[in-house]
Amino acid sequence: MRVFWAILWKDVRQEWRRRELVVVMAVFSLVVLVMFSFALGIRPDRPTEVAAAVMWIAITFAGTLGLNRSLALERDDQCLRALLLSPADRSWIYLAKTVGNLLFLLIVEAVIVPLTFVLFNLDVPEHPGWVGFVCFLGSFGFVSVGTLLAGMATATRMRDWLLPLLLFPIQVPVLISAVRATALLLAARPLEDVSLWLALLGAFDLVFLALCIIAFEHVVEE
Amino acid sequence: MNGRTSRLWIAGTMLVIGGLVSSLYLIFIRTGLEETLGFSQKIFYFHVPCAWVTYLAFAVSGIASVAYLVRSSPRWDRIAHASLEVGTVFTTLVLVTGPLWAKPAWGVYWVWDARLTTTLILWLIEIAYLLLRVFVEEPGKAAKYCAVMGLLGVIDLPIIHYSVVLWRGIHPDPVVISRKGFGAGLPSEFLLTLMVSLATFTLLYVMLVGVRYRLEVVRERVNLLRQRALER
Repeated sequence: MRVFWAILWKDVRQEWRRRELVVVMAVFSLVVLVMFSFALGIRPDRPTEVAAAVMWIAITFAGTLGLNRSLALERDDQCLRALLLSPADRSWIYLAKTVGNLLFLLIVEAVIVPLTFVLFNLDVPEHPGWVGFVCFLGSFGFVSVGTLLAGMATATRMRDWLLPLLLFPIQVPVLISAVRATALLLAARPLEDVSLWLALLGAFDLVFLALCIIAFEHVVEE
Repeated sequence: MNGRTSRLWIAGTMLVIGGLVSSLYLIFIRTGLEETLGFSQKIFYFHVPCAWVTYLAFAVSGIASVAYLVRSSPRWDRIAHASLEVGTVFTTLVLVTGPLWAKPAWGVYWVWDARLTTTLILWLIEIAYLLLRVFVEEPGKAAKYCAVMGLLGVIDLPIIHYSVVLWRGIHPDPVVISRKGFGAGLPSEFLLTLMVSLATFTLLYVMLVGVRYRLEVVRERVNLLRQRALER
């Protein structure tokens, strides 16, 4: 457990001193939002479906950037090898990296989600807390698989090129359910309609967290 | 290859050739035209076996991946790799034969139906797996990474299918194993042709995996010899 806090604290402190990753991720997702707005054209009726879809694509792209960077930092200068040489439990190493990545992605979302509302002229949703919860569950599913796959991708010859190819097909259920849940909440639909998607997100998160904890050991073994 | 395996090999090859010829005979000469769809329905006898092999190959690869992670014997890795690679060919065939049939039948090449979408995503996962194999330099590491990817893929596939079903749900209902009982949706003549075709394709899959497996063994041996020669 101490390893978990130590690694998490190291990641947070490093980011606090540099403030590179979160800034680049936020700006990148903003650029994606704006590009999509141009590509879709200015329409008086911006359906909530489109807003939710664009928002999650922006989050996914920014998240991929962050994941690659986070694991590449560990691979450079043999940091990961040093961590593995220590008697620390590998599961805690994985969880610390995952929670760190989740934290950074959530900070980016705190910027990008309100901006989506502004750019797409949406009303403030009836249940802002639930939107936040969907963001959390969606990001969690994305980051948990992403951290594991980034660990693999950064060790290949292609480095950060490979991650999207590995990650996006696997996390199709996350994207579908996060977009649908967000769209329903933005359209102020009753919570019962949303609950099915939340359940799917939750189930994916649990199954893949367990799988990734088991698989991480095999991925980092030298 | 010793005498027994080589005899088995020849027998298998003969069976596949015989099966393919009789499937073609059954499909195009024996079996009549379907009433509403006409000639285009013939592709069904190739499309369905390919889809079956696609999922069989992926399941075999997933199971072999898990076995590799547990036992870490290179045999399991070779099976997982061979099965997935052969499976990718069949998935590609499914994705080609499907739209060819869909255009005359539904009027469009592609619809985002649950089964089509799941197969497309499965294909993307297979491509990702094969790319991962190419881009990891150390063979031991490649085997491990691919086993993890295979494991994630196999567990993810039902979740993907379920989420796509919820997302939208025009593919014809299953006709072979339906609620009405085995083969109730098909005339018996059609069913026989399909069964022969299914058996042939399954055997073809097994043979191809066998060839691919042997190729991998030979390749490993060549690499070993090359390394030894360089060390000298």
